[in-house]
Amino acid sequence: MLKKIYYPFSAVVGQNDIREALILNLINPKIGGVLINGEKGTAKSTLVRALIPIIDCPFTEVPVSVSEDCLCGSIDLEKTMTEGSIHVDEGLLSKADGGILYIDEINLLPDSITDLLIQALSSGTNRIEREGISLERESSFVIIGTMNSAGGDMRSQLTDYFGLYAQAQASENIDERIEIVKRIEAFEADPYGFLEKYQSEENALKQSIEAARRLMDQIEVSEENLSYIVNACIEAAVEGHRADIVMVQTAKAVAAFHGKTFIDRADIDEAAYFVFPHRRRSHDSQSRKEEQENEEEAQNNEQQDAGDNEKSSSENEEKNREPAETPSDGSGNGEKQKSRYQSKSQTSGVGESFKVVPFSHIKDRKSRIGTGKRTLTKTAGKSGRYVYATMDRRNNDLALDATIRAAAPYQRFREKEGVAIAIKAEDIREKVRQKRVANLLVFVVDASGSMGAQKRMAETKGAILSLLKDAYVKRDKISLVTFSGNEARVILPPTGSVERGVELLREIETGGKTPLNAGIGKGLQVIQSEMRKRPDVMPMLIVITDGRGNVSLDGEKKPVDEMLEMSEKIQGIKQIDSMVIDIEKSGIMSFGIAKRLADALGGKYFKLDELRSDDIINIVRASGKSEAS
Amino acid sequence: MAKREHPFPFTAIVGQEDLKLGLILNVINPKIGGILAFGEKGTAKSTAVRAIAELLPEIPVVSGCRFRCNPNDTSLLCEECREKLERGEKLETEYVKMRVIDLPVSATEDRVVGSLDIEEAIQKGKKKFEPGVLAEANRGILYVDEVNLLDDHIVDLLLDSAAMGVNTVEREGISFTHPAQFILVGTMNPEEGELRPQLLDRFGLSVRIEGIKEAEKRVQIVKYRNAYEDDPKVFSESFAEQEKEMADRIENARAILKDVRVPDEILLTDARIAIGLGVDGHRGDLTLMKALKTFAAFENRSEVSLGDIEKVVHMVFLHRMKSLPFEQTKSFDMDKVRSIIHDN
Repeated sequence: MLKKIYYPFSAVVGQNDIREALILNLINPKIGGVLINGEKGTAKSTLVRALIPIIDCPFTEVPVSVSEDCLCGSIDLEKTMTEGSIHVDEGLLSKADGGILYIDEINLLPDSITDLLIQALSSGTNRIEREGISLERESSFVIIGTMNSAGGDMRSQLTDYFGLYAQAQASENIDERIEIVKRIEAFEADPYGFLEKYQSEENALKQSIEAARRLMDQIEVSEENLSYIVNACIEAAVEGHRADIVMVQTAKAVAAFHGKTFIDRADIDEAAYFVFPHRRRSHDSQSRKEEQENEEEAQNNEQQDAGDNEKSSSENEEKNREPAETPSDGSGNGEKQKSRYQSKSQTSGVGESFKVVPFSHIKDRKSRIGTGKRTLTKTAGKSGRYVYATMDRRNNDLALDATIRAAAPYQRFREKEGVAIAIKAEDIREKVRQKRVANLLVFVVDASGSMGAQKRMAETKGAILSLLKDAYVKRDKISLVTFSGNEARVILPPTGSVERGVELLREIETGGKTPLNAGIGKGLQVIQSEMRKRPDVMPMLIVITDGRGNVSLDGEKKPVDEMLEMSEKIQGIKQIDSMVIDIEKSGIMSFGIAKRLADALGGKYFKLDELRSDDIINIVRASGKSEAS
Repeated sequence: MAKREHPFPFTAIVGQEDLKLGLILNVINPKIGGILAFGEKGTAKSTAVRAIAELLPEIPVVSGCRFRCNPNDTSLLCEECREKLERGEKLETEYVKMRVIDLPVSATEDRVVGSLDIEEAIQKGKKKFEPGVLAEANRGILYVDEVNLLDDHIVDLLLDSAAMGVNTVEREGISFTHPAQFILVGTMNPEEGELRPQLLDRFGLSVRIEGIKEAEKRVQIVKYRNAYEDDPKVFSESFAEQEKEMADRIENARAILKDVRVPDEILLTDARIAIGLGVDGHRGDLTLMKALKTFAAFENRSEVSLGDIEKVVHMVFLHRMKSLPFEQTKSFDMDKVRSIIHDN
């Protein structure tokens, strides 16, 4: 094995929150780990990996590209083949037992892996039920994850399992920045010398952690402590009881960290700083803020005829909001978000959001299984769940269990050259795997001048917001394209970050002509480049327009003719599904071009107000059934 | 055949000064972290990459080692070489040219990181690791055309290995680690799709490649190209002297790099530029410092000077700039940097 040298923990400049959160976990592993979020290049993973020389338990790093077999364990090929009985190769989850499990870019983990991780975290065991093996292994570990939420959101079920949360931030201080550059230069120039220089600090750190650990046993949690903690949790309006439990463990660690054998309120407040932030889901808080806004408006209106119910609920909202801003006080992040939010609400309003009608990819019906939220499909790669074995050799993805089964009947007659099981080429079976594919929703939004009128943009934004929320639930990737003036622009390239989509949605401005065709073209371009990257993606083009395009791409054709021509071409691409949301007000002046667009695309067509699920849910279900039969 | 034996000489490439400088800085100091070239096809990117590998002197490798380990650096040996050494055997040395490995966009993960050798597994019941592209690229240049079209997590793997100098494989029941030190050269045309900002940030330098507008230079390019097509051997021999000179300069820079000093004033300016440009994280300032030191070494100086900044700063920050909600081409404001530099 190659010997790796890790940058010493104590040589990292700044990032005190992360350091403390990590140390608290070393003092008390019962806290259950830490989630570190922050911009790229801020020593997040450097700090985590710097723990390796400090700790005396296993440190297991799970790469984002990990396969399910490696995570859970699978048949040990070498032993099985030479000894003739099934042996299991322990997975990373079992190897991490009693230690630290670290995942960089944890927000990018595929769902199937996240599921396994959640299973292990909730049960403390790693259950293997695959390839003819069925067993259970201890798997309790401290989980550390680093992520940059700009790359996509993380599932809240998983977030909740992290005891603590710490925010990484680049230093704005010139001297600190200079120090960082100097130290890294020094480390790279002479790693061993650098390590030596920091050895005493590293030792001191180790000793202080050990000392704190010894104190842990002596710390008693008083009744008064408990009631203060519980009240803090209630006030912070965090869901479930995990926060309470984590608070107790963290407060103990904080007290021990400060060299005390009792917990005081300051310790609990310090613990709250790390325990609460991620337990308010960012997405919820976003919508909560919206509700607040509506609520406030309502409140203003109500002031004349003060309704009691309304008042008490807005009081609740007040309560919810207050703690939402406390934990980020120190980082100044809360302030930033708040001001950004305010400026947004001034630009253009977002209409009321609602639950949208179910829609999903229809062209590829064959590969869909059941009515699952996301689309299940067979995969050609080596990731995904192993569902059955095949004789087709395509991937070199050996299904050992099936191969051995195929070879078993012939063992009596075959020459064994030093192995227990003789396998011939014709016995080889490969795995067929299945994984969930998220849809890619490309929103092509009309932002032309006509949209500014009659609150149409606000309504449209409300509809898109609803679709985005739906996309969040289904873990779809989204992309936003707007068109106005003479061009279309991709304002959000395909991303898993629905939050970012919501943010940008607010900023869309309207004005100018209606280059609908450029918009469709741009949307197609986004889809095609994504298809080149991920051939198995299921893209959906969602055009939101009144259909009154008045700019053609080549400047010669009539815009409508060009639009229909393009649309037919898109319909020809089997993989792309489409949907048109018509925002034209029905009346004498309606042209119905959006409907023609939908027909040419071979896609679904909705009037804006038909999108509400309560109106149409049954109709769609019924039609979906008749299509499938 | 003659072309393969006599690739187009590096010093005969006209224009594309940034790309050439970026490549030179990376071969002097691979810690800079590779280079990303934005631009259209047919702008001599791959020619330049191949040419610089050809120009460099041969490197010592362990004979027969599939990872081409460096016999003079025992801290980064593959398992086999390490075992050999532990058994007390001598590592035989041979000299070979630096390799340029192409990674096709359609590459799958197991081809990149390596995978289980199925034949070996079935016939002998042995887990044998079949090295992938990262192994082939060890101590060479990994050239990825259209890096933005690669699957994100493969780009991730590439950048991880490039940064750590090792490739760790955890799949199909194999755990394997081998040295994977290489210079990553990627190209992309932003119109074909984006690369996640986190990934962009991990490329050391970036350059924007544009077709050359000056008529004189274009004439020169055509002339050289014709001469080369006519007789590659004669053409490359006519550049032998320049090539040798460049190779020596690079060798010299490699030797003096570790002794290049950075005055405090430069460190201060470096930090102020990073803050002033509002880029995320610290990779920008770190890379600028490395690029400056390397540039000074290339100029055969033992100290970085303020004037060096303008030579490399755009390559460090171009791809790190935040783009407006979505602009396909990132823009870098040199005037802003100048005002930061001189606003002491």
